[in-house]
Amino acid sequence: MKSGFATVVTLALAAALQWVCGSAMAADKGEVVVFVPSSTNPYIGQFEKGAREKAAELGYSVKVIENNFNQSEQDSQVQQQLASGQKAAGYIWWPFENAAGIGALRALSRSGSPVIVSNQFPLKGTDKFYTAYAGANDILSGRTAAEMLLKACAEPGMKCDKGAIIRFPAGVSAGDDRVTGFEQAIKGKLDVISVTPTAGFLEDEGYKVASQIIPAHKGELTWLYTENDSMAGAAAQAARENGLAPGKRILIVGGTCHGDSSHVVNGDLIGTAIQSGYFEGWLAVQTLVKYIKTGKVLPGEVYLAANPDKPPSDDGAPHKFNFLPNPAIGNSEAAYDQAKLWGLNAKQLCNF
Amino acid sequence: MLQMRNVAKRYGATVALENVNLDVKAGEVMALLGENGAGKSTLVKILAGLEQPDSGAIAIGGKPHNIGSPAQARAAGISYVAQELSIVGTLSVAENVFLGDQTVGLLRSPSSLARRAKPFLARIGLGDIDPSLPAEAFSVAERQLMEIARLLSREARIAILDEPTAALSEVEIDRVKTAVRTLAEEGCAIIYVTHRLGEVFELSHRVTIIRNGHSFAPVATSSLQVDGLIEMMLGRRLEQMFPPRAPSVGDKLLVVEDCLCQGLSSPVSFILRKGEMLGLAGQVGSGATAILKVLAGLTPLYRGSITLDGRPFTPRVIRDSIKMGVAYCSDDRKRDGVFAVRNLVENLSAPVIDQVSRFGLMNRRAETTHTQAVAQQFNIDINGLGRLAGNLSGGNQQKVALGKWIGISPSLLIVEEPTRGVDVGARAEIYRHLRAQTARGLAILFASSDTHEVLGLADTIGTFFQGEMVQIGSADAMTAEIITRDVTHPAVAA
Amino acid sequence: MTSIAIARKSIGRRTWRFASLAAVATIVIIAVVAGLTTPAFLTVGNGLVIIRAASMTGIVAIGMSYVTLSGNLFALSASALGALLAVIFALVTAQTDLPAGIAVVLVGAVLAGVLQGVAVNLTGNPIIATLAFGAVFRGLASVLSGNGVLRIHNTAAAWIGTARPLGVPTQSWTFVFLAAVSWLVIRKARLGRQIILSGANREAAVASGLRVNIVTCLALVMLSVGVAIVAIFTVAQFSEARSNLFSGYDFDYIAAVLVGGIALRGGQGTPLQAALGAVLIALLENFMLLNNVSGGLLMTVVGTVVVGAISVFHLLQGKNR
Repeated sequence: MKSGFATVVTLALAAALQWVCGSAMAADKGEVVVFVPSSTNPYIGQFEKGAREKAAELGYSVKVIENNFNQSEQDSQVQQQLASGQKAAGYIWWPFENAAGIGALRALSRSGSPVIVSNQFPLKGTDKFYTAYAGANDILSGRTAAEMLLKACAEPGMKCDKGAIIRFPAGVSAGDDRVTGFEQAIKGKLDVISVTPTAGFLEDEGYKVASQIIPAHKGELTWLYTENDSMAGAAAQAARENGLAPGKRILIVGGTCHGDSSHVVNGDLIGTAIQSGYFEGWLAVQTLVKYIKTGKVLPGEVYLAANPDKPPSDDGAPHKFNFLPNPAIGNSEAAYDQAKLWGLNAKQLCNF
Repeated sequence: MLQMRNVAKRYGATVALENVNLDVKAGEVMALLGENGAGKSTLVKILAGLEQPDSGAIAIGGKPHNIGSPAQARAAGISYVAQELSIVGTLSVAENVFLGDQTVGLLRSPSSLARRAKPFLARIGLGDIDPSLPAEAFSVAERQLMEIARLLSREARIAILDEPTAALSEVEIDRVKTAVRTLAEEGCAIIYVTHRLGEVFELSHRVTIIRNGHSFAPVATSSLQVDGLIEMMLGRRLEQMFPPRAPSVGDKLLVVEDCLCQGLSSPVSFILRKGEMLGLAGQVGSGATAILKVLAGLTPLYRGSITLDGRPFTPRVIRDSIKMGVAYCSDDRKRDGVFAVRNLVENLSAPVIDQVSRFGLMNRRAETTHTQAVAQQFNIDINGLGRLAGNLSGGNQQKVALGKWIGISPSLLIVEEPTRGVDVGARAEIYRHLRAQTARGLAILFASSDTHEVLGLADTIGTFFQGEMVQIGSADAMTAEIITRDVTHPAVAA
Repeated sequence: MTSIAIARKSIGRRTWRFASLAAVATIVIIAVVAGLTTPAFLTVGNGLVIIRAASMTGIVAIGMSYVTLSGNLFALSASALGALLAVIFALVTAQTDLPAGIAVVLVGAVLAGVLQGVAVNLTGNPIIATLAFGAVFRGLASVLSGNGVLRIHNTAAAWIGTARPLGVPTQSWTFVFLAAVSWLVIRKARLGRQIILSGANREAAVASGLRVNIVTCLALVMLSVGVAIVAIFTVAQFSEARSNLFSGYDFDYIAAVLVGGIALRGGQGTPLQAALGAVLIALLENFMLLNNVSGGLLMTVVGTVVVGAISVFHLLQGKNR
């Protein structure tokens, strides 16, 4: 039994080693160094996959440096990378804690290689420290969810007024941005009774909060926004346990798809939207390589088109802010099956 | 120098001190005596500023003083060396000497601190140690002396020493005694709390006895006899400290042949018979306890053979010994003798949990019956078995630490320092209980650094010096002088 | 007995009894205050909601309390072990069936407990040993799940996760049941006594012939089983598992044990106190949730309660010694 365990550990270490050191193959245009929190988070795992595949396609190798959700660990990884003296073709920077990671970002920016920030939208005043931002736009995500909700409210027989927001833990900037986007879009149309933070991002946390919020406001709640589908599914469960049928007595939206489409296709959620970890990593690398090729950054922001089949072109110069689209998906089996972005379908993109 | 008048202190409904007077002159060693719990500790704590009296007056140098905190006590010139060592092992000796002294900045360099500590250390006989070494590099006795050096460094006018020698061997005690005399000669008033009557006679000028919260008028030590002193402390006649020796002993139980182990420099051999009490006399480090630790399964046997009841006996862990009916009680009951935060029932049943449980569940009735039987044998109040062990006096804790082993019906009981930190009254009681057990056939092997204890209690005595057994023989042929000589300078006599 | 000892005894007993009741008393106080200020608070329904909210943390906290009581402080691997067991449960249940999943997870839990116990005994440092194991568990969970979401489609499992016999969730039933059993274990079982004695004074326990090393292993096994139960419930409820489940929960488990007033040094208290600690924290969180208190403040309050509880108990126990 013990030796079996040892074998598993060895395998695990071997696998981990391969992630870190792997992909030395192919590509001699240079090495892209990617800093991310741990791929134990499936979304980040998809991000890494997208980055690797896009880099391989464009002829670059990738080195991924993960931390265990720890900013100081990530900071020291940056120091070690810079001290190693190896010249990177460019850096992709996903800080664990946006504000706390500024020092490390600045150090990266002084190395002379381009730095693409991804996932965590850069803070004001840090423009000089990065080449461009490429990734999700959480304000857009919140707005998309709100638009879906408003559309569902407009259906005949639906009554929408008061509702609640269950959001990511305090201090998570994506959570702030999504609430902002959502509230902007519903302003004057819907009432928000409460905005309650959870202690995490997954089902159990969403359930814990929803199962306490829903009974307390049972008579007045008509909708719930939960910032992601994991928590939305759990909230649907809690709603049903409290006698509120999701989709009928209460409208629930998370707005970022994930692997479990069952709550979407059975109508528990009013719909979802594709936010793809895979394409976020993919886009970060594409943006980096576009800059390397052209040496230019166009000012301002661009919302990349949500073309179902064709990904954006590798040519041309990137903008300062390059946002991943969040195409909405309706809550039917057919809508889910047909949903596509940049040539991949929802099932492939939401696999996290 | 110091006067306390009509001091009283209550804890809730209980009176700790009812009416205590104390008078200490400069340059005098005042021995403070009393049974455990008589009120000595409370009195000392009041002087050290750790407790406030409910009523009464304290005057220092003729002026009334209010000692509201340890800082005020220090400002009044009172220094206190507690029973528990307050030396910080990881700090240097010099840092320990000046610990808590605000006038010595922490920024001072180690070498200058060491230089300043040196004279204080020299005065108590530690002149040859390096003050910059960490304190943990030194023996308990040396650390105790460091406490006294600290006291010197504070230029205390009044020094309180609470059982400074409780954990020391006799040679080490001499160093402490010398240091105390030096202090007194320098004009310091010293309050010396101890259980060792020998020290009282050697060291003190006068004696104040406390009994049940009352003090007695101080008596000049020179006018006192040992028996009279004990009777004053107990408030009754002490029939006899030690019970009579065993009239006869049984068959061979433990045969130790040519055994060598950690702590011994040459092999030892001896035989212990059923119903016999064998006492090994020796100071700390003399090897007297070495073979005890082997028998307890704590240290390995290097060579030689041990048989118990005719069968080879080689315990590797404590459990092995216990299974063979050998019980071991160490000299540090606080460390491994009692469960201070648990009640007496749980303490007494600890070695027999398997016997008082069935199918994985505790059998409360069996446990109660068992512990009550044990408690009765050791005169522990059976109505108070729900108390926490940590709240008992040292003597009662020792009764628990020893008594719990009677429960496993051992054939051999091994005891290190049977009465360390136990007051006179409880001591006599423990001796009586141990003797009662040998009368039932139990063999007892004990080691002690207290010459009188070994001489008074054992049937057979072995003496140890520097890892060697000096001699072993019937207690009838031994005297206190022989034992003292053996355990200190046997070569001189030989 | 002499006078001082009696005095100390009476103080000690009173404070200790108080310490044991402190969690209950605080719960009552909060309930009354909250009931007066928040209408939705003091209802039977909300009471059940609070028990449910406390249940997952509480079950692990009960297990954790065995570790604390046995004198081994805390296991910092509980959340990571939960993730690993959840992943294993999902994998096995998806491939075979529910009984096999439960069996494999329980075997895995026992194994994890024993291995950690051996490591704790070897290193003599439960914090470092379990921290290291936590990393191993999280890593294994990540490898086994391929960093993806593992879904199960099992109606029996879904029933376990979502059923409400007599209107009360299975999780709450289990929590209450385990709290009662844990009290019996500590008070009535031989193992409970061995755990208490090992924690009260490790040296004295060894000297009394107790197999303290084995007791440590068993305490960790009981914690692991508690973790396994929570892992199974969580996977069953949402029909999925992933390697980042329970991230950051170790603080919650430890907080429950501490707020319950279990002596950090071990040897004093019962697992029931940890269960009450979990309820107390859930109560606080619920109260603040209903009053729409911001997340930062919520964390601050819970943290403050933990610090306060430890300080109070430390003072009381200091007097008791």
